[in-house]
Amino acid sequence: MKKCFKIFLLILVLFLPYIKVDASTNTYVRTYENWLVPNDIVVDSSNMSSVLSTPAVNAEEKIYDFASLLTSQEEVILYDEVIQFIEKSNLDLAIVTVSDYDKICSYEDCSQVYADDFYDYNSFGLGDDHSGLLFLVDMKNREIYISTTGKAMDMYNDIRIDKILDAIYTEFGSDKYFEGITKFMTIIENYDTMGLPSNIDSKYAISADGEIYRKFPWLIVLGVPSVITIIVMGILISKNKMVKVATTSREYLEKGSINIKVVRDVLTSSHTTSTPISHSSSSGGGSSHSGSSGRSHGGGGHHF
Amino acid sequence: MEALDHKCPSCGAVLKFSPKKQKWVCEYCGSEFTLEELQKYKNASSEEVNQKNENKKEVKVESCDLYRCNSCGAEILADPNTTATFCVYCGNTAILKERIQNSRVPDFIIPFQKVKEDATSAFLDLVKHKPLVPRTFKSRKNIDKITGVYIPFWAYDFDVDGTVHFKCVDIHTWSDYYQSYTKTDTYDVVCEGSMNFDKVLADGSSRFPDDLMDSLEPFDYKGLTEYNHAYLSGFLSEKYDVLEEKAIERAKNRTLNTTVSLFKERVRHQQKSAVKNELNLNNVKSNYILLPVFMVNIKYRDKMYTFAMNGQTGKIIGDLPLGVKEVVLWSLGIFLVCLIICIGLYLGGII
Repeated sequence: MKKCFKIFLLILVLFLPYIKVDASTNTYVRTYENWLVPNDIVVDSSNMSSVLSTPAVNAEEKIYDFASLLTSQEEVILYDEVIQFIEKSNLDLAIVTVSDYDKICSYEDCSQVYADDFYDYNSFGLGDDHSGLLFLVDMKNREIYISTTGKAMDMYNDIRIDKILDAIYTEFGSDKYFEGITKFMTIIENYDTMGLPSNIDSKYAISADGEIYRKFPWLIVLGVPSVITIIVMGILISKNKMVKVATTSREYLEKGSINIKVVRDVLTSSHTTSTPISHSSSSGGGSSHSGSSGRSHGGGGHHF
Repeated sequence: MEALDHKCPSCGAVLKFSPKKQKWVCEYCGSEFTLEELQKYKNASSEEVNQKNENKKEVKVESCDLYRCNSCGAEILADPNTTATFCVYCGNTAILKERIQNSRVPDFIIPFQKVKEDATSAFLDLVKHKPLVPRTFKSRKNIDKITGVYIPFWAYDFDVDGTVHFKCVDIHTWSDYYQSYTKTDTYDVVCEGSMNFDKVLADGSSRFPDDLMDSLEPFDYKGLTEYNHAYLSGFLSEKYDVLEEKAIERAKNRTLNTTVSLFKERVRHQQKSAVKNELNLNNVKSNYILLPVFMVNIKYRDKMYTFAMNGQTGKIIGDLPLGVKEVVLWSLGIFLVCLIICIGLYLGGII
């Protein structure tokens, strides 16, 4: 039986790229023998219950519509967009919806805990730091939640997360889930195009509605012509002024008559000052928290 | 010093000095004479020459007319065969002719080597590529009054010797991983030496701005010849009105500056400033020389703009007026072109 299951898993992994996403999401059973968690996660008494309450899924499916908010066509469209985003941004992305029937608690931080655990106890994330995002639509708590990990924490800091949530939560309030998720995808792509928050020279800016637009470089467009005009006019004006008072008479010097020698050259004082060199490195970004897995996450949620 | 009368030895007509040929030319019969030839004829015809040579400094220059301008007070000298019809400084035509009295005869002269046409075309070239010069200023009519004038200069020979004290500072900086260091060394340096200057110029005419005359320099002293009144024919001249003792101050300052900077060049340190100098400027000789200058005064918006051309080298100098319209249009034009380029770069996605 166990052998059968292993063969089934192997076949599944091999054929993963060819499996079409279906409206129903496949989950697997976590057992004491096989926790179905990533290799670097150690399951012990402290997180065992968290692991067990987190569905084990195939991390390649990307769309996990447990709450059945999307049609199968919509899932196909979103899947393609997610794959495109992953290729472009080099960040992983998963979209999860949960309903009352799912194993999710209903306290203050439940959306956050569920999102982080879902991400950590399945094999999401690219690179050693498991970079990626997870977008959770929590119908039980009526909250949307964005969990960020690794490099996604830098790209989507607290300010950006808040802006994204503000721009999209109304869609979920009026039950337009597909539209809301599509808009979320568009906005995170826009931020990726804009670059890291530390890149203040970015050519792009993002409006409150999440639309990306190219910043008009006022400083350059007005400043450079002004400076050029001042320089060119300065040169032209100075060319009109040709009369200068002579302050030297070098041309009247009899060349052979110069006889100069240095008769004294004495060091009178010498002092050395030193200043310490600081080797500081700058840090920025947003707040982070750690889940039961021990990995740290950023993110934020918004009720709808 | 002898005054030649400029009568053509062959026909008796008036001779004029030709800058192009550097000879005296008879406009009537076409004969050409060098200074030596003229002097030979003069010596042959006159016995008084030797007597005149004896009164060296204060020579009565008989054959010279002085025109006094009623408007600006300029004193213009011309030989009897050259008539001044307007004041070269202010353009006034009310000038009175007087017979010259005693005056100091110049020691040297650099004869004109450029003609009026050279000066006219030099001026037109000067304004041609200056977009900010008002259009009306560029008109040819303005420069018809361009006139060749021998300007009086004082030229002083100086022997300089003495010492200059410098305070010098060398700064070295280096750093290791933890600290950056700045080492400041101060030195006390004394230089000693001497040098000679040959004919440092100072403007001898109060009517010309000193800076304008300074800007005409340098003159090539290879062209310097002993003064002869005959060079004046066809040109105007001016009598010095800045005394030798007064003009020397400017020449002294220039010479001191140059001396100190030459001393400074010998000092091998990064920052050096002269703190004290004990220099003796020994004025060995003062020369009164006439230098050839073409000049024109052009009035624009109630202000006189003086242009002068070195009559030996052709160097032209003068401050050109700025046309308000031209400045505004050019500024606007340059700004708009740059603005359009910047917007184009923005639309093209480059910035």
